Amino acid sequence: MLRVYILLALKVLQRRKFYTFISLFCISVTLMAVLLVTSLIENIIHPPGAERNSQRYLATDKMSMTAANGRSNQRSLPGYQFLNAVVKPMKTAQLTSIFSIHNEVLGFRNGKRIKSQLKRTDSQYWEILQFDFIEGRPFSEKEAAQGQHLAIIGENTARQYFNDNSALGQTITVSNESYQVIGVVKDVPIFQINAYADIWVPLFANPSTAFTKQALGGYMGLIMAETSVQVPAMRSEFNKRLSAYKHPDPKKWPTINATANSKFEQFARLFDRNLEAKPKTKELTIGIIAAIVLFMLLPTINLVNLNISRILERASEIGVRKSFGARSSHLISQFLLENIILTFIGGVIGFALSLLVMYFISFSGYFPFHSFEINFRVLASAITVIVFFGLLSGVYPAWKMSRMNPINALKGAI
Amino acid sequence: MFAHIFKMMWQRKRANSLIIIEIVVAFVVLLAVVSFIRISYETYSAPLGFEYKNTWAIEFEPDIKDRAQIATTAKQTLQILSQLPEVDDAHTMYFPPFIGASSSTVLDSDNGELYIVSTAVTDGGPQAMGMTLLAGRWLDESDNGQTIQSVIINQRLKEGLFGNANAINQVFDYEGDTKLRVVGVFKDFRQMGEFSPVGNYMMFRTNLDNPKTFFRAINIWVKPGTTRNFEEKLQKILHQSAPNWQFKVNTWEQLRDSHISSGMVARFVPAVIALFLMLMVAFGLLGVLWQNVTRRTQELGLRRAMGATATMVQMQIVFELLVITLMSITIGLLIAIQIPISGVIETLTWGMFFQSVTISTVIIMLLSVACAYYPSLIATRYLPADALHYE
Repeated sequence: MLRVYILLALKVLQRRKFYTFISLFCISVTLMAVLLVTSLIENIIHPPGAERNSQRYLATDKMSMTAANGRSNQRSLPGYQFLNAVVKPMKTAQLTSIFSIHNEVLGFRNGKRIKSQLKRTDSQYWEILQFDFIEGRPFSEKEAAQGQHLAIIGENTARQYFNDNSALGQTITVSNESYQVIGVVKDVPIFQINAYADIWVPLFANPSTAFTKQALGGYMGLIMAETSVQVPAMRSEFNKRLSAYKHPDPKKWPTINATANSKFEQFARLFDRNLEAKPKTKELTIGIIAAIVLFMLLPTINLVNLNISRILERASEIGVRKSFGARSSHLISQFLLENIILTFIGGVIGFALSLLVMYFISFSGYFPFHSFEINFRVLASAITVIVFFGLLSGVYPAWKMSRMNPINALKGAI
Repeated sequence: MFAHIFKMMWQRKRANSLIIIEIVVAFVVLLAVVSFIRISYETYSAPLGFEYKNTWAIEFEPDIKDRAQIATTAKQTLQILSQLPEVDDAHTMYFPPFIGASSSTVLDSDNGELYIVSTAVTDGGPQAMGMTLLAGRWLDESDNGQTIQSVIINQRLKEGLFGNANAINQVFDYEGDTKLRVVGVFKDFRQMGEFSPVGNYMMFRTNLDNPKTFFRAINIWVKPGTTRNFEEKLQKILHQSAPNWQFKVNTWEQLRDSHISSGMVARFVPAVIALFLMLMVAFGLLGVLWQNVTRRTQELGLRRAMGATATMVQMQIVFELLVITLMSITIGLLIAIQIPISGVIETLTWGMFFQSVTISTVIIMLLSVACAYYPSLIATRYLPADALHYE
């Protein structure tokens, strides 16, 4: 029976090619847009590449200090002093790292100016984040502590400075400091804010150590548990240590707030400046789903309209089947199946289209080094969209069809 | 004829309800996008209030241990820079324009809350930027050591604080217990660039002899024709004057370019989405109407048999959809008009709203005529004979 239905559905699709084209166009374009958005969000909250262990770590990237009068408030990235006191001694964490935010630096090569983003990191940073080394190695604990002038650079930066020659052992001079290149890694897109940079150098390869005394500003912390199960324990230890922490000038800044965030929480905090409150991950999820549903409203109504027209066109066929005793449920399931087959074909086209657009976006360099990745979660959302589309746009017309009066249907007048 | 078609369509409003819903949603979506672009155009074309040609921004990050000497170091640096043959003038500022970083305050006034963006510049800065003074004077030496700090404000803030009254030498309450005296009113200074909303702006005076002064940028006015190659020399000079500081150099034109391009992308994306949605709606309507016309062979053939001309039949089909569209637009308008009535979007004036409504209405009407055209052409091909042997 199912086989007959499928064959029938394919025949129907071929019969009126214009309708089929319109339906496929609606479905595929809508699905493409949804796929692009979900893939982008997915890349931010479950990043591949260097930040692929994101399930196991939390990032401390926001901090605020409130003065005694309760009004004056400073809010920025945490400072090294704070991270060293709170994040470094964490017992539940297997690895902890302190590193700076990326800063723009300038280098010159044969009179050509090269802008790069420079990040200062410790050695555990390279264990938490899984950079893909093309050549060379990360710096060791000893090298980092001594503040040796070593640098790890991104593939693109290596090409800018040294063309196609090997960068290992070469010297790179940015912002009047020289570093010896010991490693080249695959480039990281800016969405991976913990990993993002073009040049990475040891924290203490800094002309001044004044930053170690500063509580607020410029640095970020990462804490990584052995498995993702231990993340909640790590979170509560962080909060305990945070409440025990005292600012070096406790009279002036009695209240300190900071957070340890998963990737999704980091993303949610972009839309909410309140550090005291929990990150609004639930609200964000609902917001994203609502926006997608709203976006799909118009294409869905459109498909419902089209489907009703298609059914009316097949009135005589339905009339014949009804007079020969076909039950409404048969007709409904047949029509729904037809519709799902149609949406499925549209889905496949939409998927191909989105791959094409993703390729073009990557190629255009609008998001440098960003490669869209489609994983099972993105696929699952795509399938949800297809099923949603297929059912929603099919149910009402199918119900309408099942209620046709066979006599009128046979006459062609409804 | 139109009245008659309207009556027919009104009778059939339930049968057409899904098409009506579709056009209502399409109209509301289109109106939202058109209004957004209309508002953007308004802010984009409002005057910036300053010149951006031949100006370079040097953002710096001082070393922590030098924080107390920022003003002293900057003063020396300004002197060194203004002596360079390539440089005409140099002034400090909180943040360079176009980058989105700013300092802002919310002030309670008699006319409600005022959101004010502010910056501070050294004497002569506003003149160098080509700003226009409307009343009073620029900030200068005479503002040194005053008990009440002097500021200059833009026209909009002047109206917000004092209405039509004279603002010069007026004092108003600022954060906490501080008071500020207005010494000048300038036309505008839209620091955040063309796409930023037109707002209230206030400018303080930077006195480099005061060690507590805050600023993170030095702007230099270069001689026309200076190329980017000057940056290498500039970086060397900056490095010599403050060895442990980090400097970032950009021309204002470059900063503006990236502001404009990101602003354009933010408007281009919704426009493309709207375009695709409209295309879908157009195809959908075309499909529905086509089917509709094929089903009405009998009726349309009969009309021809009774002497209706091909044009009349064609008009009927087009008008039918136009009536449905008009009904949908009315419903959509009833929904959308709540936005200017409630005043949720301050920048959307009634004038702009009606312009956007007109544009959206015209687009949707054209769309429906275009969709109805081909089906109406088919309708004219029915011969009376077809209709008569239909059964």
